Amino acid sequence: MDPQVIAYVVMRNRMRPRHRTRIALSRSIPVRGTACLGGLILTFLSIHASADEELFESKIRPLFIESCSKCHGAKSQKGGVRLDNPRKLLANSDGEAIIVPGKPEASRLVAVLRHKGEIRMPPKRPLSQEKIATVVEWIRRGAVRPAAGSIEKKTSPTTDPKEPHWAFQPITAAAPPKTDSDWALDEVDRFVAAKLESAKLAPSPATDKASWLRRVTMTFTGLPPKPEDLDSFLEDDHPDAFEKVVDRLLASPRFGERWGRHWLDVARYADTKGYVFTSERRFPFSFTFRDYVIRSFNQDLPYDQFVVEQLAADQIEEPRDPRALAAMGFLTLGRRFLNNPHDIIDDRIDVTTRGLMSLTVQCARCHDHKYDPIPTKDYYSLYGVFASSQEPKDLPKIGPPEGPDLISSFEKELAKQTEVLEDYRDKKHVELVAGIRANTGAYLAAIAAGKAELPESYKSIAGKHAIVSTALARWKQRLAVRAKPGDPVFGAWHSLVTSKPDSVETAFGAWKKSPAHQMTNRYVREALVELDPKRREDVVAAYSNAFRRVLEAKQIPTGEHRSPHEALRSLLFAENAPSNLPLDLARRHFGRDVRDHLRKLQNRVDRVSIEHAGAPLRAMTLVDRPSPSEPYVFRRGQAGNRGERVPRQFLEVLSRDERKPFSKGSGRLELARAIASADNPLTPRSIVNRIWMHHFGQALVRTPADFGIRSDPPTHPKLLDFLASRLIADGWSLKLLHRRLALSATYRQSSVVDPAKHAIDPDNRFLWRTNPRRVEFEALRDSMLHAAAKLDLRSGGKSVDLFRRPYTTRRTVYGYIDRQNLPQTLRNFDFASPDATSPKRHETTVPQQALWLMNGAFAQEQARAVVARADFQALKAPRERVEFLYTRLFARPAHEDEHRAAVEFLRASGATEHWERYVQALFLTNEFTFVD
Amino acid sequence: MLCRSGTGFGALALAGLFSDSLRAGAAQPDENPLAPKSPHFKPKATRVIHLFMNGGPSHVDTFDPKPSLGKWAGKMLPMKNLRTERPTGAAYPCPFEFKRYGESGTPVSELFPHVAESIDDIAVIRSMHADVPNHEPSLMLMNCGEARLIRPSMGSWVTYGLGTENQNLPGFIAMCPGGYPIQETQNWQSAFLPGVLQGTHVDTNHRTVDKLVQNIKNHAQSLGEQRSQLDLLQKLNRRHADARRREAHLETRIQSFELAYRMQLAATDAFDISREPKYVREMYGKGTQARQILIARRLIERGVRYVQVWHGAGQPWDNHDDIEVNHRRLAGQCDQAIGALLKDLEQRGLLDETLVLWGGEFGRTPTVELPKKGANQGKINGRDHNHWGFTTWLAGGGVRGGITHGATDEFGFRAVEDRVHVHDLHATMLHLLGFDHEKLTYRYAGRDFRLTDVHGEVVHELIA
Repeated sequence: MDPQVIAYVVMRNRMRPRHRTRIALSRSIPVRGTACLGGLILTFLSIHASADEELFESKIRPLFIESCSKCHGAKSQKGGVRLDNPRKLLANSDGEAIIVPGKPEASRLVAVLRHKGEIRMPPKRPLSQEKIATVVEWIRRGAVRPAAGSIEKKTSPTTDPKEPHWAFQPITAAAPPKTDSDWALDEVDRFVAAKLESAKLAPSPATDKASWLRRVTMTFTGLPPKPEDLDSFLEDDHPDAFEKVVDRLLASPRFGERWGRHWLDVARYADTKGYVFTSERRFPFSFTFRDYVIRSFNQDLPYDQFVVEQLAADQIEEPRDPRALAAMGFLTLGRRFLNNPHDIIDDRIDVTTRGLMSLTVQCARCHDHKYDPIPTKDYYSLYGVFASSQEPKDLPKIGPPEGPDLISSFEKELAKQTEVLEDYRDKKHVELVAGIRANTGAYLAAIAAGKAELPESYKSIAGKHAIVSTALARWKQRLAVRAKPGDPVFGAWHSLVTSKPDSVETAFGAWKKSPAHQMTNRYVREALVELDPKRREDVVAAYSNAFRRVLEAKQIPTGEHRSPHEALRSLLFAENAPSNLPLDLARRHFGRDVRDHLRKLQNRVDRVSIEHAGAPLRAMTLVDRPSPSEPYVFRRGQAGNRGERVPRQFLEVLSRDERKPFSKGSGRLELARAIASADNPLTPRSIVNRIWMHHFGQALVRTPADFGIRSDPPTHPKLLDFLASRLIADGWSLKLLHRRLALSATYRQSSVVDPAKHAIDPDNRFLWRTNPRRVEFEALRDSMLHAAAKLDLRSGGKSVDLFRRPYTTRRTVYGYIDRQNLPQTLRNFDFASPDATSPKRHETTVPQQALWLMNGAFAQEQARAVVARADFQALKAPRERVEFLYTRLFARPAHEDEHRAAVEFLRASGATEHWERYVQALFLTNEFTFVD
Repeated sequence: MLCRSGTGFGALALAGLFSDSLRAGAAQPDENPLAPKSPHFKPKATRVIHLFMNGGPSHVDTFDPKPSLGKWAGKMLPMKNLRTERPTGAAYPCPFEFKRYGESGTPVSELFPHVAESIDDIAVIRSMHADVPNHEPSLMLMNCGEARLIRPSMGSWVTYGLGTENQNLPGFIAMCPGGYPIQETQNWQSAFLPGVLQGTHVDTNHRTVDKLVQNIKNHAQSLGEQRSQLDLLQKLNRRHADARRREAHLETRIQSFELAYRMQLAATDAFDISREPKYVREMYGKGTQARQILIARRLIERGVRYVQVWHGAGQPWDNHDDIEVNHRRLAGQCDQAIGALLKDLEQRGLLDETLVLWGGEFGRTPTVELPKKGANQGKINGRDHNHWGFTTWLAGGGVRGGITHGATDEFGFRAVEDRVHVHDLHATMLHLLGFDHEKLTYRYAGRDFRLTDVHGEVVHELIA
C-alpha cells in the first residue's frame, strides 16, 4: 500500500465512527444553528398544531418504533441516533441535525430513508415509498411532535465524592495492626496476620531453607541457585542468613534481567513496528530501551524518576546519564498501525495510563468512560500532550557502537545509501517541477475555466498534463495577488479574465486603447496582440505562449527583451514561484512507482543503522513539536468530527486542587511529574501491586492494570497502602520494597495445602500459604542453559533470534521480539502479548508446551550439553550423577525411589544417550517448571 | 462473560482425575482453554471451515451475474463510479458464462462448476459490504471484526467459546500454502485471549508432517523410547504431585504430556492424505488446493474446531489485470476441491454441523480498472477492489441452502437490498454456533470485548 493509499485508509477510518459504521450522520449540516432553529420553529408551531401532533402519533411514532427503535431506541442508540423519544428526534447525540423541521430536503433522515448516499436506513430494505412520503410530509409540516417524552436521567459518569472509590482516595499510612502471634517478622506480616486472624486462619509453617532459597533465587534472578550458594546458606546459622541471600541476589546483574522483563511486559516491548506494508519493519534501537530498563532496576533507580524518564527524559534539565534518553522507548516502541497517528497516540495513552497508573483511560476515546470518572475531554487532554510531541528525525546518540572499530565503515555506508536516496529524490523533484513549469498553460487554463476538469475548448492549450493540485493552488494564490489593474504581467489577465467581461473581444479592444496596454510586459503584450483574443481560451493561449517563449529561449536575451524575459522567468523559476514546489510539497505528488522506489531506498538507509555493527547506539526518543497544539475532542473518536477544544492537562479525577493547563511545551514533563507524584494515589499502589504479584503469584488487586470501579478491591487494602507509603518514604526505592517482601514470614511460608484452610479460603486470598509458581518461558529456557553450563551472561546489546539454529545461549530477555509474527513457541508459552500493555500473563497448560520440551531441538541440545559437562562426566557412579543433577535442577538431594527410578530407566547401561534422555525427562518434570 | 466451568469431556479428561481440586490454589492457572465448552444455546454448527479467497474474488464473475454490464460494455455506467482504491473506468462485462444449477436454479459462473453441483446446499449472500477498499483493513475486518486495532480473530473467539473436541490436535488451524497472506499472522491472532487460541499456521506447500506442525516429531528417539521416557517422567511427576495434593495445575500439566504424545500420532495421521482412498483423492483433484482442502476435511472430522484455508501467500485473487486469465486459473485450482469437500462432508454426514464459509475480504468493481503509472500500466483488463458490494457464501451447519440473499445494484457495484455487513455475517455465524454474539465477551482493559464490537445483527433469512 503506498502512502497515498494509506492516507486514504486513514482518512476513511477517521470518517468511520468507531461504533456503528453505517449510521454516521453528515457533518456538513451546521450543527447548533439548525438544531436551535428547528427548536424555535417547533415551539412556535406546536401551540396550534394538534392535527400535526395527530400525524405524529398515528403515523410517525408507530413507524419509528416498528422500523427504527431496535437500533435507535432506548436500549441502543447506534450512531447516537434515537428515534423512540420525541425529545431526541431532531439531532443525534453529538448535536448534529437529523431532521430540519419544515425542510425535508435538508433533513438527513430523508436522504437516509431514501437510500441515497452511503448511509441507508433501514439497512436491509428501504421503507415503502408511502411511508417515506409520510415522513417527508411530517417534516414539511414542521416535524411536530408532542413536547412530553420520557425524561432520561443523566448517565455520564463524573466524579462523585459521595461514592468514593478506594483507588482514587489518598494513600493512608495506617500503622501495622498489633498481633498476638509471634509469627510476624516485619510489618507486612502484621497486616497479613491480622487478616488471617479475622478469618480464624493461621499461617502455614515456614518452608525448609533449601526450598526457600530456590524460591527466592528464582523470584529474583529467574535461575535456580548454584550448589555452592545452597551449601553456604544451609550452613549459615546466623539470624541474618536470609538477609545476606536477599542482598546478594538484589546485587546480582541477573536481578535486572529478571525484573526488567516483568517491566517489558508492562511496556509492551517489541523489536518491530507491526504491520507497516513495505516500510522497514524493525525498530533500529529498541534494545536500548530494554537495556535501560534492566540497568535501572539493577541500579535501583528511584521509581518516580524511572517513570519521569520514560515519559520525558528529553526534558530533564540535568540528565544523570545520557543513556537515560532511551527510557522513552516506553512511549515509542508501540505498534505503528500503518502510521495512523491517532492509533499511535492511543497506544501511548494506554501504556501510560494502564501501565503506570492502572487506569483504563483508553475507554474514553469515543465516549465518556462507562464506569470510571474519565470524561472524553480528559482523554483528549492527554491526546494533546502526545500530539504535541514527535520523534526527532535524527535520534540522539547515547553511546558508542557495539563494534567501535567499525564506526567509519558505518558512516561511509550510511552516507553512500543516503546519497543514493537523495540523488534519486532530487532528480524526481526536478522532473516534477520541470513538468509543472512546462505546462504553465494548463494551470492558467484551469483557473480561467474555474475547474480542474477542463472543457474541450481548453484542452488543446493544456495538453495532456495532469494538473498537480498543489501547484494549481499556488497559481491561484499568485493570481489573486497579481491579477490587478496595473500589474505588468497579469493586469491584462485581470481585464480579460478575472473581471469576467461580457465580451473578451470588446474588453481586449478597450484594453488595447488604454494606457495599461503600454505598461504591459512586452512578451505578454505581443502574445495577446498576435492572437487577438475573442474568447477567454485565447487569452490563456496567449499567456501560455508568452511563458513558453521564455522557456524555449536558448539564452537570456539582451536589450529590451531582457527585462520582460526576466519578469516572466522569475514567475517560473523564483524560489517562491508557483510551479517551484519545495520538496516536502512535491513528494506528495510523486507517482506510485517513484514512491515505491523511494521507500525501497529509504529502507536501505534504515537498514544500515539496524544491521551495521558500527552504528552508534541511539535512543528512540520524542521531542516537543515547535508549537504545541491545543487538542479538540474527536466526537465518537473520529478525527474528522471535532468537538470542543480542551487544554492539555492532567486527569480531573487525580487533580486535587484547581487543575491548571500544562504550560511547558507539550506538557509531557508536567504530565510525567503528575503521574510520578507522591500525591498521586494510583502510581505507587500500581507498582507495589505489580511487584507483590511477582513475589506472591497473585496481586493484591487481582487486575494489575485496572484499578477502576469494576475491578475487585484489594485483598489487603491497608497493606497495599502501607507499602505504597513506605515506597514513597524510602525515596521510591524498589529494592527496599523487594527486600521487605522477600524477607517477610508471609513469603517464607510453605506452599503445602492444608485441607482445612483450603476449605475456608480455596483461593488463598488471606495468604495462609505461599502460592506455588509456574516459571515463565524465560526462566524455563534460561534454567536449561544454566544446567548445561552454557548460559551466556553478557548483558545488553542487539536482540538475538532465539529460535534459529545454532541456538543462542544468551538469556531469553535478549531475544528478538517480532510483534507482527510472534514466534509460535512464545505464544504457546503465554508470553506477554506485545500489542498492548500486559497486566499479567495467561497461565495455560497445553500439549504444545510439552511438545517443545519433548521434541524441540533446544531442550534436547541442553540435555546433551548437561551430560557432556566435564564435572558430570567426571562422576562415574549413577548415584553421584543423579545427586549432581538434583542439586542443580531442584536444589535438593534425590530420594531413594528417585534413585531407583533413574537406575531402572538407565537399565544400568549408562549409555550416554540414556543419560541424555534422563536429563531431558528431568527438564520435563513439574518440579523443574514449578517453584514451591 | 462466557461460563468457564467447563463441563465437556475434555475438561473431565484433563481435570476430572482429581476430586474437588479443580479450583484449588490461588495460583490456579487458566483452565486448559481448549477444553470443550457449551455455547449459549443449542448450536446448529459445531465447527467451521473458512475458505479464504484472499485478494478479493470478483462477485460479478462468480456468483452475482450482471447482464447489464454487457449492455454497457466499454461505456461509462449511467451511475457515478463509486470510489474504490484506484480509479476505474467503463463497464467491464463478465467474460464468463453463467448457468442455473440445482433445484433452486441459482446461477453460477463457469468458474465454479463443481461448487455449483452443491448449490442447493449453499446460501449465496450477494449483498455483503465492508468499510474500505483496501486489503489490510478489510482482511482485519473479515477476520477480527475490526479494521485497525488489535482484536482476536473469529477462529480464536470460536475456540475460546467452544474449546475443541480433539485435545490431540490444535483447536484452530490456519493453512496457507507458501507463507503468509497480507497482514500475516494477524489474520488468525488471539490478541488478548490466551496465545494457544491463536490459529496454528500450517504452510501446506510442505508435505511432511514435521514441517507442517512445529515439534510434532521427535528426531532423537523412537516412539517406544519416548514412551519409556514419559513413563519415567510420570513416575517422577506422580511422586512430586503426591506430596502436593490439591494442586490442579500439576495434574493438568501431567496430562499435557500424554496429550502431546498422542498429538504426535494424531497430527501425523490428520495431515497425511495418502491415507485416503484413491477415489477420494481423485474426487478432490490434484495440486496444493486439493491437498489442503482435503486436509481441512480430515481435521474437521477429527474434531478440530476451526479451520481456515487460504488460497495462497500474499493476495492471489487480487486481479487488477488479466482478470479473465487469472480468475480462471485460480478458480481452476480450487473449484473441484471445494465441490468435493461439500459432497464429501455431506456423504459423511458432517455437513449438517460443519459451517463452510467461502469468500474474500471484499469483491471487485464491475468497471474496469484504469491503468496507473507504476502499477498496471498498459493493461485495461482487470477490476479494482470493491467493498461496496460483494458476495460470500455459506453452506452446511444450519444454513438454508439453495437461496440467494440480498442483491447488489443493477451493475454489481453496491449492495442495495438486504445488505449484510461483515459484522452481520459474524453475528450470524456465531448464532449458528450457538452464541449470542452480544454475550460472547472477554473482559480486558476494563471493557467487555466481543467479535462484533457494538455492531452486528443476525441474518435470520440465512438460517434453515
